[in-house]
Amino acid sequence: MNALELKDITFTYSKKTPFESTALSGVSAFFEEKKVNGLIGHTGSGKSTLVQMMNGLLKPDEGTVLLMGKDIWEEPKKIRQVRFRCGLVFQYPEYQLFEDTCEKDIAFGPRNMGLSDEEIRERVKSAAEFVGLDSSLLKKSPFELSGGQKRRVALAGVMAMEPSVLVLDEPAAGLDPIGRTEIFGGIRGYQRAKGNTVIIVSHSMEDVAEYCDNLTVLKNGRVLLKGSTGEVFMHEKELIESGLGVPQITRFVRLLREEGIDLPENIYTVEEALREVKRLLGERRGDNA
Amino acid sequence: MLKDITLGQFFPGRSVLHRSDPRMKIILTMLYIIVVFLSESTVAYLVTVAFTLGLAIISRINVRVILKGLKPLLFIMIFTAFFNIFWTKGESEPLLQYGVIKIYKEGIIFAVKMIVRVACVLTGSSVILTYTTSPIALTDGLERLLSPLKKIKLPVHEFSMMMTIALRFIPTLIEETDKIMNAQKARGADFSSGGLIKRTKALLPVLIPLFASSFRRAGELATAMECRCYRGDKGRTRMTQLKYKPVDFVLLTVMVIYGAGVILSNIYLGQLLAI
Repeated sequence: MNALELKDITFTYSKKTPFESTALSGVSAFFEEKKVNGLIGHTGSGKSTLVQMMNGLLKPDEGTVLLMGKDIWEEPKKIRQVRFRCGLVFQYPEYQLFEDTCEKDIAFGPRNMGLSDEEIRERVKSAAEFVGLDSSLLKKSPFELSGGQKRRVALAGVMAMEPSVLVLDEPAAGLDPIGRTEIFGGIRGYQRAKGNTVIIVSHSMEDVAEYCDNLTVLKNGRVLLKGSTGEVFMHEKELIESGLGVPQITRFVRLLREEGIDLPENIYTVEEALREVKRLLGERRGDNA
Repeated sequence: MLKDITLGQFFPGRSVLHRSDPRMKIILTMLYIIVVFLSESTVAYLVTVAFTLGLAIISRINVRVILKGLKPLLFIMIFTAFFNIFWTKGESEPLLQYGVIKIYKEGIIFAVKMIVRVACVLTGSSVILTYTTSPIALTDGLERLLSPLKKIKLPVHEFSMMMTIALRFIPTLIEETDKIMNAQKARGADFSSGGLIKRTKALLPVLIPLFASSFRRAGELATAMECRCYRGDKGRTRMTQLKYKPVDFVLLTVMVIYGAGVILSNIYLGQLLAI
């Protein structure tokens, strides 16, 4: 079953003005339930617009958005309920923090849902754990924290709503390698524990290769490719033409294969490559012995 | 959406008015407003209307834009005209009489003249100045015009720098507000229901991050300016030197002729076409 399905979405900004620009022209995409779905595309490909369609921040000019098989615009007055079920973390979400303590900030979403105090406390605690936020930080003001810590607070703020679909727009942008690993680790841990659907929007082929089960590639407001991570990365030429690419390690392995080194084709992460190279070296040593 | 608000009202173009020096345009606007208010006789009014239309045509600004600019003041114009019609007393017989309500010919003429005058001033000044001058050029022109005041220790440069920075950051702040509002809406914030107090409270999650980021931006900008050795007006040179060009003097001449025309038609053609 698809957690989220977009059908023939068309959207134009600043309609009927000289500044009119078409962001999406007939996009159809689906995101599988209980999976980590990747959405990639070059700058200006319509990713951010599409993301705002998912929880009803923008209303498509044409087309429908189905969340768990139900049209989200069926009852426009209840669009707030949709936002609780499809949580969206924007790019650089640390700039949305406003409360005097991190705890209260994370509780903002759940409080808007009208949950009981006890339930809220429970959710704040568990969300903070998922993103690896030390409980001593919860009483601090978000403005005292480092950039990476603020990002985690913001992420926890959406996770605490426990949406069945969690959409993240470039969750690791501007973080150092350790920050990246930790953020993605937190997202993955959360997904596994809650068994919900995650959609990650990213520029980094390395990140989506490592964390996503399947990929949707967007180009100029249309879906270019769709499939499992492996399938999509087989189309290196198309990806490069649309301003993207494949993970560096995939390219490296392809070049090695062209030199006649017997490595498998479907390698997308450094860990996989390492394992395969070690295996190969082991085989050779075995031959020599 | 917030993005749809047009700011600064500037419409880029290549018309004579666009190319003219901002200092000259400020002077021309002031002259123009004075002349419009000097118009008395019917002929003078006709000259003013023709001149304003001429300005609008050479500016190549879309008619719809100009009409849209007049719209916000339409209500006030009609409102005052309405009162003028009823409250102006004439010498001749009233045209219409119904109980205490008397409408005189003078009242109607006065109301029409007033509407024409306000519409002209609005159209003319925006066509000469705001529609055809970029905000940056405008503050630059203003600084240069006011620079004599530096002699009496008025911080003219600092004021215009502040204005430039403020104008520069309006679109940025709008974009930022939009982003933060969306982020809070994604967390279930509700800006459009409840009473006044509830709605004001609902804006806090937007205003606090907005202030925080404004302070951050201000700090960053100050650092960036210092990195480029900005130290105020002292010894500052400009990349774009303002220079009067022939076109500026042509425009000035046209404006003077228009002024003379209005004054002369007030004096000598006062009776012509008199209603």
